Amino acid sequence: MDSIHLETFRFSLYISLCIFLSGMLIRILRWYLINIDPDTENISFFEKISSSIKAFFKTIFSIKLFTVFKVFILDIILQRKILKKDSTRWLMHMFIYGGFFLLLFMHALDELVSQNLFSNYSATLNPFLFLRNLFALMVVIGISIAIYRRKNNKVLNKTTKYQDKYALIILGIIFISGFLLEAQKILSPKVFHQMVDTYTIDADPDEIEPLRMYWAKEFELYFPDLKDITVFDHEMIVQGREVHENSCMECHSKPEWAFISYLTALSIKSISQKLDEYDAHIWLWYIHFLACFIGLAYLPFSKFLHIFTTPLGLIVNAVGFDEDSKNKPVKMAIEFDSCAHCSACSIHCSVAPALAFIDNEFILPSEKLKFIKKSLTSKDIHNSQKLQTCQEASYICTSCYRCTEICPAGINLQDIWDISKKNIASHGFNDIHSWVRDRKKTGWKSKVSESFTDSGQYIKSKYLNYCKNKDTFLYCMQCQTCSSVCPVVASNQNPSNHLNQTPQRVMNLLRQGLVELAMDVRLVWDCTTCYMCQENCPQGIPVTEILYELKNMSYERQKIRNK
Amino acid sequence: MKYAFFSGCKIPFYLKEYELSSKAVLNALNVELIDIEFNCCGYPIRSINFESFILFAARNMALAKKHNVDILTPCKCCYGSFMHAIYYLVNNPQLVSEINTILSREELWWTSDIQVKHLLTVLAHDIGIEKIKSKITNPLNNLKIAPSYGCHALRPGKIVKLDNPFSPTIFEDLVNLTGAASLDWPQRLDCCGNPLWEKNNEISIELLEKKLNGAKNSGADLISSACTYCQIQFDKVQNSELKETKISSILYPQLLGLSLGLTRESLGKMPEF
Repeated sequence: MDSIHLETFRFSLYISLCIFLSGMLIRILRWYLINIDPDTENISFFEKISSSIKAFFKTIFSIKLFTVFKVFILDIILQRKILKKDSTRWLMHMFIYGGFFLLLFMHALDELVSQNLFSNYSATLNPFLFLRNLFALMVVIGISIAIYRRKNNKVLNKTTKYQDKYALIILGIIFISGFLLEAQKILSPKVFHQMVDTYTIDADPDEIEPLRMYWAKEFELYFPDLKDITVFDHEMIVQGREVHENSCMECHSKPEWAFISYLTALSIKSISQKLDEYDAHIWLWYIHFLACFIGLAYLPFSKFLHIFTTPLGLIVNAVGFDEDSKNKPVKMAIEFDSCAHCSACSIHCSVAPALAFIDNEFILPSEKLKFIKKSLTSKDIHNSQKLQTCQEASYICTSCYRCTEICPAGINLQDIWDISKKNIASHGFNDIHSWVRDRKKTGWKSKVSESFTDSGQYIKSKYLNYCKNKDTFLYCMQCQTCSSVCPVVASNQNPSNHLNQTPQRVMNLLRQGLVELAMDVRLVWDCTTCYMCQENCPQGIPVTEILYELKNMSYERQKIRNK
Repeated sequence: MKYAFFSGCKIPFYLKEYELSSKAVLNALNVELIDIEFNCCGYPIRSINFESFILFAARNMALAKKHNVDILTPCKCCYGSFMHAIYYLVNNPQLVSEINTILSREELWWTSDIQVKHLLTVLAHDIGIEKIKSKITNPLNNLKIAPSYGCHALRPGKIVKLDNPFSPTIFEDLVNLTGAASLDWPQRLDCCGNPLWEKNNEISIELLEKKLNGAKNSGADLISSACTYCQIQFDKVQNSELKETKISSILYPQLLGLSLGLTRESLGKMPEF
């Protein structure tokens, strides 16, 4: 290998390490700078840092250290939370992360790890030769399962975005270039000659030719001048084997052991001569290590950050880091980064089916979390439509807690949902009940004129047709039974609360076709749906169903008005 | 008898004792229950979007159908919501076809033969009052209970079909068989106020107070409820919002469980009496 290539390798490694470390520093600093809960805004940066340091020492010098080890083995190495809910996902992730880390230590860091642990280590020697392909196969199987799942699961399909695709693509490039590189190295005459020059300095030049024949026969080397030979000269082979046993065997096992690269080599044999002419073993190597270094440099900004932050989040939650309330904002900031966007929460979300009819991606917990995280650091999001959409999704969520229980990263999602609702509300984005409560009444006359100028476009279900259908009210004789049995009407109310509309008056407005006005009535959203009115109506008018339809229409109209 | 137990969104984290006691009692009465990962019943989303509400209900029923069982739910809001959805689906083939097109993408299918039952209807009708009575070993004599029906399983009677919506007796029959005395109190069919909780707290608490005062004045030792939301209102909301506890509420399966001789621990957190 020319020294210029080695220099380039080293240089790129140092650059990518610098970018990686700077990126990690920025992320860590951010944990101490962002704040999601308005109630903790006053904790200063330095207070947070000193509380973290205190908590760190408290943990390592106490019984909590055992908790850290327990979490490390069970939740980080063995990932039992994933296994509990979905064994396919567990297997997929085990293959990807297990295979990758084994490769990282055995292959990428072989100078640091393998060479020190094993005195006979050589990359082309068994078991390392075989294991490298085996670990790579694990990762390839894992990635294939991942791609299959993301394409075929309805929810995963919706949540798969740029970051997930990038992760799969960069891994794909690393592994495909790795197999091609090893394949070309198996076949390449140039590499053979380079190795001969380096390792047989004191050998007889006449020994090179037998060695070449031996390697062409046994080690799949592709020499163009030997490609048509079917039977090698026996004497040459015996002599070649002797040279091999003296100079090569210590470091080289048969290439078939690198089973995937070997198969790849067989299939690219026909173009390998051309590839060799263009020094493919060098530029494939460049692609391979540059892809790794790009992955490393970009790590703090990519999905792979979770390699560090998910274990940190699990540990931080397990040791009760936020027992000191000053640590709570930092804990939540870490939790935002510890989300690996695996979307387990979205797959099992109780209200995910609503996406079939409501076009609001923030209904899915993984997307809601991603947005909340972004809104904390991006200032221009503050007045956007998206905050309102997120708040709408927050109120569709039933707080059933399932996402929090499932999250393999141990994020306390329910906590985040509660605080975020509060936070977004403080910017003036509320649910419809708040809007109804806070709305200033401008007087009957202007209300009437307001309702007539409204475009009257009701986005409503085609299956409900009570309000605009005059036949519904044909039999209403304004007997006021509905109002007299309504518990909301009966409850003592502050007169300034504008609850001056009763069911019977709503029916009256609708009888006259004043649907818009009826939608504005406070009772629509103060109705407890107890069905007393409907049950008691002597004329069989479905009063509560009508109020439900008014709710649906008024909700849709409010969405338009909010834009 | 085998059912899919539909706990709904609130029980698993907010009212675990309801699932615990219901399952304990049904187990003691030889009813087999299976757990399926259901989605929300659709009751909360009904105020927002009609089609979603129907889809939620239909998907749950289709999931139960896949396992060849009917649904049993202890929550009256879930029960009422399901019955409304069934009513709309049965009367609207176009709606069924739209919903089934969506469900078919997950290889699910809704048909009108799938039934949804409430804990009380299963106890009173499917198992039978006399059969349960024969298994009572620890009659709760000297206990006066004010049963609270809750709205969503009671009205509108023609759709939810629990009992006569103006003078139901199913809850009293079930309370009486435990040996406890069920009282007739004026607010027994009234709304507990929970649908307005966190939407209009003033009215919600006002309705709650009316119920609690009524039960207390009738001379009851405890209120009994058979709905997740009613119990949350009587238990959690009373404790967090009112200055003092007027009267505590016990879940019906806890009452029944005690009279069947089950231990207090197996029935979950319950009031002292």
